[in-house]
Amino acid sequence: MFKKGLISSMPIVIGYFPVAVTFGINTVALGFSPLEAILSSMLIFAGASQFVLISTMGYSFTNAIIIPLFLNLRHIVYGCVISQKFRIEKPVMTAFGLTDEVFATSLNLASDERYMWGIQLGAYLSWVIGTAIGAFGGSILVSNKMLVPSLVFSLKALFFILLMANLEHSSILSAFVGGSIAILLHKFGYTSLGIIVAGILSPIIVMKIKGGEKTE
Amino acid sequence: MRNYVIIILVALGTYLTRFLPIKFGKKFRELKDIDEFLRHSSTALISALFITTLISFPIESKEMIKGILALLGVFVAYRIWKNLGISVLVGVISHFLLSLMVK
Repeated sequence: MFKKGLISSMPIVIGYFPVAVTFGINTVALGFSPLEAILSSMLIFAGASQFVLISTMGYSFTNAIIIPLFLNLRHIVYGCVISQKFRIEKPVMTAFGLTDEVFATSLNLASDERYMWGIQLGAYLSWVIGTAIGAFGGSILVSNKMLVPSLVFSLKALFFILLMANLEHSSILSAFVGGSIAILLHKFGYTSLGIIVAGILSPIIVMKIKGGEKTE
Repeated sequence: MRNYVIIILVALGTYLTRFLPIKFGKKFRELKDIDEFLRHSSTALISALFITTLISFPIESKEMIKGILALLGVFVAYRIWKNLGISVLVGVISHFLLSLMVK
């Protein structure tokens, strides 16, 4: 199961790597040490919030802690959903690598905790190694203006497939409501909040609509 | 030293947002209609993640069309092979070829 999970992590690996290299380069370019870049990838392992962290770390101590954490609040919903999907024996370990992509892939493919560890390990290594390469001079790798967007596109493709697979046994209405809420808040710059609200509000709306249909 | 403290605190906070709901997830099972709620919630979350990675504001029509066409390739590949890795790879290659064509 662990090996299967590791193989399933390949689309995430492809997508994470160029972003991690970019993170490493940016961190060093902003005046932080390569060690700080690698350490944040090793300990935090949360893409978007790490970019926010390096852009606020030079200024306010409080903001550098609060803003990235606010961005990561959506993980609370992920944890609730995953813990209902299968029995989790080692939450201390399983919780560590629960990123957006790991969550979405695990939700559709993982049948147990070990499978999820495989997905997490692949994603984690790609993120940490990519950061290290970027921090120690990966500017050559990200200088290809055409290749990098195509590699990053793999994350869009990944979410698209996972959505298709999920819709085979779930309601299209949930996807529509969730997507609409998220895009609305994304438009105003509240992307992370939009994902949290979509995860909480969409089921309430869909269940209300379906409940109403049943009553009629 | 200050930066290392920030990194450790953010890491700790991030970890807790992931760990606590898993650790205390069992309590949720006792709630009424929780299975249906979470089923809809997971679909909504994946949809939200997809749409927010696909669209970035301001919308650049050229990039958008390129993305949608590459997703079409992903869709076809997934219908044929039902394989996540192959479908993603088809998407990446399609996107790259489209980038070469639409310079």
